[in-house]
Amino acid sequence: MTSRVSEAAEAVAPPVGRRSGRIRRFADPLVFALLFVALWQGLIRVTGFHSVVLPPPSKVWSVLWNQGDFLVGNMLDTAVTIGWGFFLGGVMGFVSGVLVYHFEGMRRAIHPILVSLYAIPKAVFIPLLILWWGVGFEYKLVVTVLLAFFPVTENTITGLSGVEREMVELTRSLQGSRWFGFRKVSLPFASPFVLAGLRIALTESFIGGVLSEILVPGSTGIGSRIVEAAAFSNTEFIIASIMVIASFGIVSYFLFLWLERRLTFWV
Amino acid sequence: MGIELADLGKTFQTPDLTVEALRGISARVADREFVSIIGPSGCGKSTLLRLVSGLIPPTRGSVSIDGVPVRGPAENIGFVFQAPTLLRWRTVIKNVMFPYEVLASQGRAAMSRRAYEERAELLLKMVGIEDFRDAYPKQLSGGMQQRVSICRALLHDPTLLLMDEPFGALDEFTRERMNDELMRIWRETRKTVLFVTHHIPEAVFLSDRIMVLSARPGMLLGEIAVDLPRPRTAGMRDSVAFLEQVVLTRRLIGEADGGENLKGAR
Repeated sequence: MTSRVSEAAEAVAPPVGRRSGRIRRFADPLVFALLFVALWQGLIRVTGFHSVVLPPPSKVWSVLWNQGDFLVGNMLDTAVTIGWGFFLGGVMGFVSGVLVYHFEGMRRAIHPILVSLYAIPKAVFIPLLILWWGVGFEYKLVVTVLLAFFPVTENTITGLSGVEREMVELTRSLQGSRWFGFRKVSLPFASPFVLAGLRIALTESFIGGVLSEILVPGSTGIGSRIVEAAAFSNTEFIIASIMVIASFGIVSYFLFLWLERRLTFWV
Repeated sequence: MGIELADLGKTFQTPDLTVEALRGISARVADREFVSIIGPSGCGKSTLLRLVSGLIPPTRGSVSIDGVPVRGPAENIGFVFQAPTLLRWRTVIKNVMFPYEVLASQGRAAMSRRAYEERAELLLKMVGIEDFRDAYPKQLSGGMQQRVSICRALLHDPTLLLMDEPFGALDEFTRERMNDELMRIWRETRKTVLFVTHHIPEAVFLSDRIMVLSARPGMLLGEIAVDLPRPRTAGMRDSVAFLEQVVLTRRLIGEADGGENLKGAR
């Protein structure tokens, strides 16, 4: 089976061969990015920007080269928060979505509250969370869970609501149990929605993990290193950190996308 | 499997709406009889099938199958819905095997998986889509999907087949071909069939008897015995006897209805 991406790419790309089309899908953005970096370096040469405002790519590169281990080490600390936050937020979001959908009472009483909470910018809770949990791992985890939770709940409810009446009746007309119908009909039906919710939750988890650190300098994780570097006007360090975070984010996002496509091949 | 409906009524109640769907339906369907239910859109035909299958409880009266009152989903029923209602993440064969999985999950399967699989393949062959065994629903046309859903309804060899306008969404050519196939299946498997439609020639072609319902609330206006020989085959559609029966049926429906309640029926 060809993926939708490659089909879409073939639709817009000029008629180059299938293989070279695949290479160009990766090569074109790469070439563009390199051009951008070259332009950046050239612009600084010409305009003579102070490197505190905008350091040249070469300086950023030297941070990546010399302090790469340090940066990645801190990023891995952050990744632990992101990973656990994503996992717990995802599981909790899914379970609460299923419960809210299946119990009429909960749907009436709790769903409006969930929607309202979803609409609030979660960052406003952070001072409260620091007050309750301090500035350690627990606090960061709670921030991340809070951000990951809602998109999964919402999408789970949306997915389950889309199950057609006849699909439920199909199991019932065979005297199948509600649990069987849930496992074999409702859950697979809703799974593309749940997975899409999880994908959003993944990017939200990155926000949660990094943001919670940025607010508490002196803690573990790459977010704290960024604020500290800002205090010393170490701009190239900040940009290098951003690039490390970005690569982790991009790689995990596309891994997830790949997995999602494989799991929901019928969509 | 014989069905008896006694003063059957159903009213749907929501906080801001009360809809009386069916009122005072009393009728019998004999074992192995093919009975169509005809009536305008929204006259409660689908509701009637759901009541018979026990998917929903009646507000008044009762449904009995072989003398046993129906309470909750009845045993040994095959349900064909208006839409194919296939599970899109399953291949054709896996969709047809769905009833086996439900039965097996409760230890009620009468045969082994292998035996059911052979039966599923036989059914697919019977409706001419054995080559699509491992295809996914989205790769099939609407008519082919509905054939899969008929195979699925037949897998566990139900004694009662409930069909809710199964060919309503198909074009006329496909509909006639599906009718021919259904007749062949019915000849070969001999089940009691309750068939909902709003298409008069279809009802005439398939049925032993046609029950005519009025517009909402659905009431039984009358029954028409179809006086045509069996087996019913494609060629019969051009026969004078068939056409006369269609005309007669249309007139009887009009009379039963006083020309008012059935405006929606073709």
